[in-house]
Amino acid sequence: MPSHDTIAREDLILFLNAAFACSGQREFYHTADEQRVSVQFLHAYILGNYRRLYARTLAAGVNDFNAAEIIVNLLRTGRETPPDFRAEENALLGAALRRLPPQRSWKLLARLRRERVNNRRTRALVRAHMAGQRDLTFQAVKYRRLVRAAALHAHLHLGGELPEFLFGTFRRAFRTPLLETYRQARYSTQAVYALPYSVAQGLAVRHGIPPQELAGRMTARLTEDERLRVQRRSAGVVEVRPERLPLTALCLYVLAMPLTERQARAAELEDWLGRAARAVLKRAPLPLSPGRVAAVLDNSFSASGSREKRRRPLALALATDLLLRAGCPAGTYRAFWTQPTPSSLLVQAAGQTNLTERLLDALDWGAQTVLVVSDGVENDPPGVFHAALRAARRLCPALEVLHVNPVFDAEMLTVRSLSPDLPAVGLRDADDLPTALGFARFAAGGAEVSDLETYLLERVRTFLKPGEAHVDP
Amino acid sequence: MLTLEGLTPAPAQVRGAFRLVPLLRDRPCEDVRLTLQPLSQDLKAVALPDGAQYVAFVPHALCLDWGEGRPPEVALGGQVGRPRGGWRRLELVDRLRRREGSGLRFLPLHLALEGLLALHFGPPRVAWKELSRDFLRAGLGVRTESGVPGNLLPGFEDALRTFELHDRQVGMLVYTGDQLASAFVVPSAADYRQLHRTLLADLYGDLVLRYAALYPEPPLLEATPQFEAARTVADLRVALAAVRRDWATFVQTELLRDLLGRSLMAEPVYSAGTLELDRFVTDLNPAQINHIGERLRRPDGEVLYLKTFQLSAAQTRRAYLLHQLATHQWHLGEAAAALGQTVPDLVERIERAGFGYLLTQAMRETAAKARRT
Repeated sequence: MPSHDTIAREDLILFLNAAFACSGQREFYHTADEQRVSVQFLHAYILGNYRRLYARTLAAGVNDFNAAEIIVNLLRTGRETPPDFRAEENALLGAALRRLPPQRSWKLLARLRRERVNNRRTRALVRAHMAGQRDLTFQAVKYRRLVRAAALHAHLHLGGELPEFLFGTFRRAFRTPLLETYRQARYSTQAVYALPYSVAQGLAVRHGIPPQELAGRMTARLTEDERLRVQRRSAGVVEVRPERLPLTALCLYVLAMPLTERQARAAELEDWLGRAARAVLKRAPLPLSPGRVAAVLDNSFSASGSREKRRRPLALALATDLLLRAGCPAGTYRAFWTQPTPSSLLVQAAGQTNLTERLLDALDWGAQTVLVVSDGVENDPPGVFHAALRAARRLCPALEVLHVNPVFDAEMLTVRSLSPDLPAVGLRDADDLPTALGFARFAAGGAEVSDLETYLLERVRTFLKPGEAHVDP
Repeated sequence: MLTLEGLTPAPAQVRGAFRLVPLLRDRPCEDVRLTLQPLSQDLKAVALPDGAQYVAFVPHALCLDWGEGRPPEVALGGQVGRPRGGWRRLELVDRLRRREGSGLRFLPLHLALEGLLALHFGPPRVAWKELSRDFLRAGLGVRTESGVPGNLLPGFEDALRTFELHDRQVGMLVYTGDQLASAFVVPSAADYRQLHRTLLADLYGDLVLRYAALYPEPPLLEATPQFEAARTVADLRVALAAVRRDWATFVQTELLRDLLGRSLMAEPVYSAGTLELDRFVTDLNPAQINHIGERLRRPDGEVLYLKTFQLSAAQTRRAYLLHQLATHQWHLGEAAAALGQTVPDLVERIERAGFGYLLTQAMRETAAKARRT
């Protein structure tokens, strides 16, 4: 019978993996509902059994979806917080809420109202969050309904003209320019173009402005995500600014292009991708041992993802390839796609998953570190990777194999691993690859639960350090 | 004997109750194409040569094209006949298979089904007095056989959606509860890609539905790893090849036990150039699961097209009984002797199979009285 500590360690690794990879959306093998039920169970289970560790995982680089879940769950069960942990938990909640992207954080506050989570701590958190906004007026215009819900729920007395804007009837002119523009946009077509794009979109429908025209005239005001969304429909008016996009988004954008376009613009795309990869590495270098590094990248049919996460697993494989290419000294890195392609840029998701053959190719080449990026469903033949890995470890004792998995398996409650000897680590965003690799060593090393606690504490310390930006160490 | 000549099974992919075994073609086939032909989804009625009518629900048709050196052509909009009015349309298709342009149009699986319904059963040549007058005058009369459409099988759509096609894949063996539910092979990989989803619209036996619902997780057959003795990376490669080979042999010897090494009753249906299209049924042994099917083969035995249907136990019993009666020219005494039964027992068996109407009332009463005493 395993000891209490072993169970605690395995539970936590299970949970962290889920919290890295799962986003409650449909995957290739599982529906959105299956994903949600499964991950909610994990949250309830870890919260009930390991409250402190549960709160500290906020600092471990979990994805936004799970961070929001954790915040709501902690607020909902505030009474169970041990008194000596209160201060730390509050600090973690505040820091995590600040780091969420605005649309997520406002949605979260509105959700607290819908689920009737209301206590002194919640109100204090909402108040602090509002006070911490750099431009609350802008946020109020962009997320008017959500901000109003949050203000109502926390009984906030907002200063200036905001109460009039959120709750009033718009009879009198505002003195704040943005609020006044919003008021005017209800009657004037001109004012619509001066609003944030997503707000203007709604009002444009009312004024009968065609979407193309709106996007064309607002080019300068679009955010990067909005640019990505509208550029294909805008007939060349809106252009993507690759230097401002994160690596994963850029990979997804490139993979969505038809093959001929990718081929024609190869040099340009390579340049974009390389630059984005170097930007990631500048923030956090890859913790890789010296020696030859090989990546076994899964581009089987299942890497095509789902309707909600189209080509996401493939994009993460491509991003990993780019990061390793940029991060390893010349001649020490090579990629092995399961369905070989002439260039990583032209990769497509098709065919069966034959990881073992590629692993052997990597060994032939003389790799000392092999990084596998795959959803862990192996079928040519099934279960052989484990046997091959065991034998390979015997043949090359210095061999180090790491498995990164972009897909959460709802049935197994974790990311699927290829072999019991090789725990997989969840990954949702290529920017988190350095964190994931650090964690992979940790998950595979058979460490004790106390080590895990120290690891998390260390993360908490850097997480709560004032002035620290979004970057993971 | 049914063989998978020219095909190699690859390791199976399991999802839910379904174990799907991809079949890869050893030598690419370039001169024969099988394509999907759109047909309106309706009931079709086909007049058979002997004056009988074959009525069935047909979701799609296949167009077979053969020849060398010219690009394959597909006749589009190959709808035949005219719809009759009314709320339920019955379309007349003049033949199950029809030469169309340069190709042959046929309705998948219906060649075999037609055989099961009518053709394997020779009508009596002698008017034995035990046989009812209606039978002698009108033949077997209306017979129906039923199947389950693939989209009703729980989990089948998911299994097909998540299946990862191989590059050289030209076919698929579908298993539920480790029984062969159906086999499907087409000439080339490009054709298979087009036809993969039609598996969902095809017909399956009742037993397949039952197994799909009752056995949600077939055990994973993990080929015993042969990696233990490896000394070098090259050895590992050899071991991997060996595991793949093991899989292929395992499929050929164990998973296909229903089909391989059993005698078939086959009947040629059409000759396309040197190719031969025939329909077949396994030996109808009631102790085993039987399949009907149709296939297209080259003169050297390479299977270009194959489609099978798993018969239910009742269907097997009915077909077996009719087949036995036909071989003995419907002489009840001889047939009973061949089956190791008495005549009254045989009569009861015929009645239970739903063919009681073929015998005279007097005969059935006499047999019932004989059984009681």
